[in-house]
Amino acid sequence: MKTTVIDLSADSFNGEIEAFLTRLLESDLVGSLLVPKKTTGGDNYVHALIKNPALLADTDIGAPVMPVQAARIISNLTFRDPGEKIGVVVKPCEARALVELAKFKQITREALVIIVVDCLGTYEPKAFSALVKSGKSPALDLRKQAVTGACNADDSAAFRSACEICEYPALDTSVVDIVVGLWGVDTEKQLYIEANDELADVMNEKNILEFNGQDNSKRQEIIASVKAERSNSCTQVLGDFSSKVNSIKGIQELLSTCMRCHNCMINCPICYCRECVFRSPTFEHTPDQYLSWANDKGAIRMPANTVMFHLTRLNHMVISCIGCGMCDTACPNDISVMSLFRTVGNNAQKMMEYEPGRSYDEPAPATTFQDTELVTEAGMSGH
Amino acid sequence: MPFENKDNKIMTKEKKVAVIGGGFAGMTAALQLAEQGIKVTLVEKEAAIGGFFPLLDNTFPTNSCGVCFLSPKQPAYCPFVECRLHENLEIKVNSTPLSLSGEPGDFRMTLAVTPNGVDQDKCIDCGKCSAVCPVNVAYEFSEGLEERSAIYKLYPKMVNAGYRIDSENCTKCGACVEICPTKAIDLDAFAVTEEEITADAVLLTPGFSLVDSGLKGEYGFGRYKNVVSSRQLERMISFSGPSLGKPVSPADGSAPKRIAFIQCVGSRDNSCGRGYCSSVCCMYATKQAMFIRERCPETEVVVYYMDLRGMGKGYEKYFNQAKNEHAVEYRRSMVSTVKEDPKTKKLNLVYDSDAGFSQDTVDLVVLSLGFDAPKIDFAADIGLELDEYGFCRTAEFAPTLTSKPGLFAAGAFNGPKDIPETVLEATAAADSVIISLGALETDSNNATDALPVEPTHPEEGDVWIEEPKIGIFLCSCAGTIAADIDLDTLCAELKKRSYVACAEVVDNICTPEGLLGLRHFIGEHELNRIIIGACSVREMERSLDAFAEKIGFNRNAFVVTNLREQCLFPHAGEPEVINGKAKALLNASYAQVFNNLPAPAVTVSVTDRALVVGGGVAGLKAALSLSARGCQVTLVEKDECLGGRLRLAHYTLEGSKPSELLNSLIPAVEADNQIEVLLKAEITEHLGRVGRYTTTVKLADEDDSRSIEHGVLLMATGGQEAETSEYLKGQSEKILTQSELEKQLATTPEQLHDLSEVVMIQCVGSREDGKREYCSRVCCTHALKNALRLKEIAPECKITVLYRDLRSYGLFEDYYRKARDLGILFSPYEVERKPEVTASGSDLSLSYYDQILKQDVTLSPELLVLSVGVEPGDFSELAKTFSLPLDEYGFFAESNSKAALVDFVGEGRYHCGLASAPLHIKETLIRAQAAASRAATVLSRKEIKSTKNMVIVSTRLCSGCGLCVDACPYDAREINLATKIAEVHSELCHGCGSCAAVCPNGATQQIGFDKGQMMAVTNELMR
Repeated sequence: MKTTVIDLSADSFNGEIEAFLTRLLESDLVGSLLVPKKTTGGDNYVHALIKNPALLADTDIGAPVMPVQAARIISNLTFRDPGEKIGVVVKPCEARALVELAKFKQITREALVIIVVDCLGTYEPKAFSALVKSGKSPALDLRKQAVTGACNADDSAAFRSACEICEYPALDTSVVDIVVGLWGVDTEKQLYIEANDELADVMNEKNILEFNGQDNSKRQEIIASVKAERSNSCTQVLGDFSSKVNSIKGIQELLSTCMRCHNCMINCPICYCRECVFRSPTFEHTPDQYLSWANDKGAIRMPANTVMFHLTRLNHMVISCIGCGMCDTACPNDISVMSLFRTVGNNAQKMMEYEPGRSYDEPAPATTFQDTELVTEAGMSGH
Repeated sequence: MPFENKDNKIMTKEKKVAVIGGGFAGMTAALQLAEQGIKVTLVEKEAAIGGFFPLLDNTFPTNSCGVCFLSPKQPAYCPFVECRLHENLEIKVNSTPLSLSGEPGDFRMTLAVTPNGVDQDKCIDCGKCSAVCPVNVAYEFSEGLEERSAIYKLYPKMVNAGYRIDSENCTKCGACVEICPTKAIDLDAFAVTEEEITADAVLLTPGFSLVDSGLKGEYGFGRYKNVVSSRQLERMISFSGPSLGKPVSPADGSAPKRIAFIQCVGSRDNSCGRGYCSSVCCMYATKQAMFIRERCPETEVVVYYMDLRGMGKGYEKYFNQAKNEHAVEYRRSMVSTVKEDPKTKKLNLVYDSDAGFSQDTVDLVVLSLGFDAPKIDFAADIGLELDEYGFCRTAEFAPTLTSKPGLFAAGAFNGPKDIPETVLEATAAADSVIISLGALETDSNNATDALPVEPTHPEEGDVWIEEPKIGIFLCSCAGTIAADIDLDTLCAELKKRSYVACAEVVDNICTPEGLLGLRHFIGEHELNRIIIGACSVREMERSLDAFAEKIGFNRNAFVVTNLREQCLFPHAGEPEVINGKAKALLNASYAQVFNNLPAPAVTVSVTDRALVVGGGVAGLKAALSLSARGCQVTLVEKDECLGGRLRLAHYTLEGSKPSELLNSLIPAVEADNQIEVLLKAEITEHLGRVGRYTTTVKLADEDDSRSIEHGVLLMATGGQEAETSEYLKGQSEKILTQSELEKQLATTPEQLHDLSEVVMIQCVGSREDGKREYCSRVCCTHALKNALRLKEIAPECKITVLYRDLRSYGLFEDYYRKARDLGILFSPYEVERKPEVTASGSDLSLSYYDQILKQDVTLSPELLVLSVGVEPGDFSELAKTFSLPLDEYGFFAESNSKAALVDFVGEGRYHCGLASAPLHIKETLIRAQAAASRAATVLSRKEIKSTKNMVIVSTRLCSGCGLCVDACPYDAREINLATKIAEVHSELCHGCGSCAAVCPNGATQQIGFDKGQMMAVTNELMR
C-alpha cells in the first residue's frame, strides 16, 4: 500500500478529482470510468459510464446520495469480461457488495480498477434533491465536517437508515485498488490517496500521481471513532428491532403492508439471480390452487407468498448482506426490511465466522461444509 | 444395475461362483462378482447375511457407519439390500457347507440347510410373532445384555425379514403360528435337509468368531458381573442397544466412573493357542473409549495394552485424538488378575508397571476379545491347507489363492484383519476369481454356449405429454396393512381427486401376481402415472424398476408411498394417527406424481482402455489383471525400465523372493499384446470424465506427444524410503537404513559375519507431530526380517531393537516371538525420551533409557540401523495435471477410508500401491488387484447410464454463480466458460441433490424433487 495527497486550493475539490480521473483515462490505465454524475435535472447524481474525458465535468465522487447500488451496474458491465479496464468510483458498501458478487462470479474483478471514496453518509434521493433545490451544497457541507469526524446530516433532513448504523465508513486497499480518503482530512486543503503497490508504481511512472508516503494516523483515529459510534447505534437499533419483531406474528406484522413489488429484491446488490424464483413459473399458481388454499384455511392473504418471499430472499442473501440499505430506500411502504436483514444477517455471519466484503478469498459459506457444523451450529450430536 | 447391458469380454458362457460366508468379505466379493455378470450363490450359515457388521455401532477411524460405501457403485445403498436385490446374486441362509468336492469348473458342495421354522419367502417382517411369544431368554447378539423371545431376529436393525425360531427354548404354544398373517411359521419344520449346489469356482469368506469371553479365567468374566466383553460394550455404546449408547455397570445398572480395557484377550498368547495378533482390537477399543469419553465426560477410561497397534495412514492420528482430545489413558502393562470387591462390586486390577506390581480399582472391566479362526469341516477333504491356528494358508505373492486350484479365500479367514483390509482383499479375490474363470474357458476350449440374450423391452412411451391418468394401488400386505389402515375408504377418497382414473386395493403388490394385477389395471384404464401404497421403497426398488422397464414406462411414472414403515410401525396402537398419516402421505404422492418429470436416459459410451501410471509392482499387477479380463491397457513409466522399488527388495519376512515376483510380472506384461508399455514417459495433459478420458504423454525418445484415449485411470506412482539426518545418519558409514542393511544382507553377507553389536531404532521421523504423523506400517516387520536374517548370518551378534510400539500385526506376530526366542532384545522408548547417538572417530555410542531396568543403558553398536519409514513420491505436479486430491501426508486421497481405499471421489479414477499408503508387497498386490477390479466394473460396461434423480439446468434462469460447482461432491457440475451457464455431467452425477439445494432460484432442478413439485408435496402434507 502506498500513499499520497492531492493538494487542493479553495473549491478545487471536484476540479482536482476530474483532473486525476482524466489522467487515468488518458494514460489508458482504464478504458472507461463509472462515476456519479449530475443528472440532467441538476438535483441528483447517478453513475455514468464515461469514455470522453470532457464529460467528466459535473461529476462528484463524493455525492452523498445513492439512487442505485453501483455493484448492480458493475455486474451488468463485467458479468462477462468487457475486454478493457473499467475504473469504478464507489462507496464502501458498493465495494463490499462487489467482493461478494465476485464470489458468485457476477463480476470480472480483473477488469476493474475499484476506486472507493470514504463515505460521509448518504441522503435518500428525494431528500438530497430537496436540499439541492433549496440552494444547499450537501456534499460540500459534509466534506467540511470530515476533518473532525462529526459529519452530521443537514438540519432539515436525515441520513438513510442504513448509513446511521453503517460500520464501514471507509475501506482499505486489501479489497479495492484506490482509496480516496476524506475522514480526518482537511478537505479544503487536501485529499488523501491510497493505492495498492502495483498500481501506485504504475501511477508514479505515468505521472498520474506521485506516491510519496503520507501519515495516515489521524484519519485512522477518526475512522475508528466513527466506527465505534456507529457500532453502538447499530446494536441499539437492531436490539430495538429484535425486541419488537421477535415472533412469527411479529414478522407477519412487519411485512403486512408488503405489496409484493419486489423492489427490495430488484435493488439488492446481492440478489444476483437473473430471474428470481418468485418471478418464475414455480410461483405461477393456477386459480384453483388459490381457491384450494382458501378452502383449506378459510382465508388466505392476497397477494400470496409475501412472507415466504422475504424469508426465502433472506435465506439466500443474508449471509452476504453488506447492509447498504437499498431495500429500505426501495420499499414504497417503508417496511424496515433492512433492519430485518441486518439482524438476521449479523447472527448468521457471526455463526459462520463470516464477514461479507472482507476478502475475496473467503469462500461463501454455502459452498463449504464441515462435519463439526452439525454440532457447533445446529446443536446436533451427529446422531 | 440389473438391466444394464454387460459387455462381458472374457466369458461366453454363464459362470457360477459360490461364496461361502455372508460377512463383509462375502458381501463385497459377491456384489463385485454379480456386478460383472457372474451368477453368485452366497451361502450363509446364520439366518441372515451381515456377519459382524450389525454389531458395530460406528467404525474407526471416521467414527461413522459407512456401510453404504461398500457396494460396487459408490455411494450406493446398503450392501445388505444390494445383495438381496441383485439379480445375479442368490442368498442361501441357514446353510452350512458339509462337503466340497470337484475341480475348477466343476465344484459340488453339499449344504446342510437348517430350517428355523420361518419361511423366509413368506415372512413379511411384521414383527407380530415375537411380540406374542411368551418366552424370554438371553439374546446371543449382545451376549445376554438383552432378552429375546423364542422367535426372534438375528440382530435388531435388520433391513429384511430374518426371523428364526430357537427350537430349544420354543414352548410350541402356537401363538406365533396363529398370529402370522402370511402363514410363514411351521413349528414342525426343523428337520435338516441337504442341498447340493454347483459352482465353477468357490470363494471362501467364512470370517472369524470372537474368542470365548471366559477364555482367560483370571479376568473373571462370568463370575463378576462388571467384567464385560468388548462385544457387550459395543452393544452398550450402540444407540439401538439396551443402554442407548452409554456404558453401564451390569451389577447395578449404574454409570461406571472408571473403566479399564484389557487388550489382547485371546491374542498374542501362546498359552491359549493363539499366538497371532488380532490386528483390530487396539483400534476398536480406542473407538469405544472415545465414544465413552464423548458421551460420559465424567467417566475415566484407561487402556491396558502391550503395543498399540494401529497400522495405517489415518490411525496414528486416531490414537492421538483419543489421548489428547478425549483424555483416554494408555498404560503399557500386562494385567495379571481381576478381583471383585463383593460388597461394592468394584474391580481390582493387578498389573505390572514401572513400579513393580500395581493396582487399579475400576467400576467396569472390558475385555478386548481377539479373533478365532473359523471352522472349515471340508478343508482336509478338498486339500485346503490351513495354518496351525486354522487360518487359510495362502501364498505371499498370490494372497487370495488357496492351496487348491479353483478355491479362493479372502477376509479374516486369511488372517485377522480390519474392515478396510477385508474389503480390499475381497475385491482382489473377486478379481482373481474372474480371471480364473476366463482362464478356465480358454483351457477347456469350451466356448460354444452363447451368453443368454438380454431380454428386450418396449421403448419408453412418452406418457408425459398426455393428460395425467393416475392409478392408485394400495397393498394389503397379506392383510397386515389392511388390518390397521382402512384401505377401501382411502381408495374411495382418493378416487375423487382430479385425474385419478382408478384406486384399488391389491394383495401383495411385490409378488408376481400382484404386479400382474397392476399391469391389468394399467392397461384397462390406460394409466400413465402410478402411486403404490405399500412398504418401504427400498423393498420394492428393483422389482419396480424392472416392472417399469418391462411395460415401457419411465420409472418416474411410479411413486411409492410407505404405509408400513412410516405409518403402521411407528404409530402402533394409534389407528387415527395411522390412517391420518397414510392419507396425508398418499395425497403428497399424488402431488408428486402429478408434477413429476421423466428421468432422462443419458448415457456415455466407455472407451475400452485403462491408463495405468507407474510401472512398479502395483502398476504391473493391475495392468495384468485388467488385461486378463480382456481390457486394453496402456502402462506408462517415467523410468527407463519396469519394476519400480521392487527392484530394491531382496527378500521378505515370510521368505519369498521379490525378484521372482518381478521375473514373473515383467515378462508377462511385456509379452501381453493387450498391454502397451511406454517407458521414459511424462504426462503432460489430462482431460475428460469417467468412460472417456484423454491423456497426453510425452516420451523422451519421441518428438511428438502421444494422445491416449481411455475409460479409466489407475495411479500407481509409488513411494520411497524416507530420508533422514536424525541419529547422525549420513555422518557415519556404520549408520544404515533398513533397506541399506537388507542389501548388504542379501549381497555381501560375508562382511557381516563378525558383527557383535547391532542396534535398530524404529519410527525414525515417523509418528511425530509435524513429521510424518502416520505409521509407516512396514518398518517393524522390515526390522524383524533383517534382524532374523542377521541372526542367521551372525548368530553371536547381539541385536537390540528400540521401538515405540512393535507392530507385528496379524500372523506376523509369530516372527516377533521367534525373534525374541532367538535372543534379539526389544526395548521400548518414549518419543519424549529418544535414544541418543554420538560418534567419536568411527566409533558409535548409543544410550537409551531402559524401561525395564529403569536406567540409562549405553551401547557401542558396530551398526546402527534406522527404520526411516515410507513416504509418497512427490505427486504435486501429477496431482495438478490430473486434478487429483492428495491427503495431508501427500499420498493420494481415498474417497472413504473405510471401504473405498483405492477409489478417488467420483467413478473412473483409482489408485494403488505406495502412492496410496505404506504397504507390504503382499498388500500392494491386493490393492493393485482391488483397483483393477474396481476399474473393470467401469470398463465392463459399454456405456454409463445416468442416475434416476438427475439434475437439469434451466439456461434461462442460471446466473452462472457456480455455487453448484462448489457444492457438488462428485465433480459433476461445471460452468461452461463460453456461455457462463452451469452444466451437469450426468455420468458423474449421483443424484445427491446438493447442487439443487444450493441454487438460489431453482435454475438447477433435481428431477423427482423439483421446487414446484416439492412445494406441491409440502402443501399436501400441511393441509
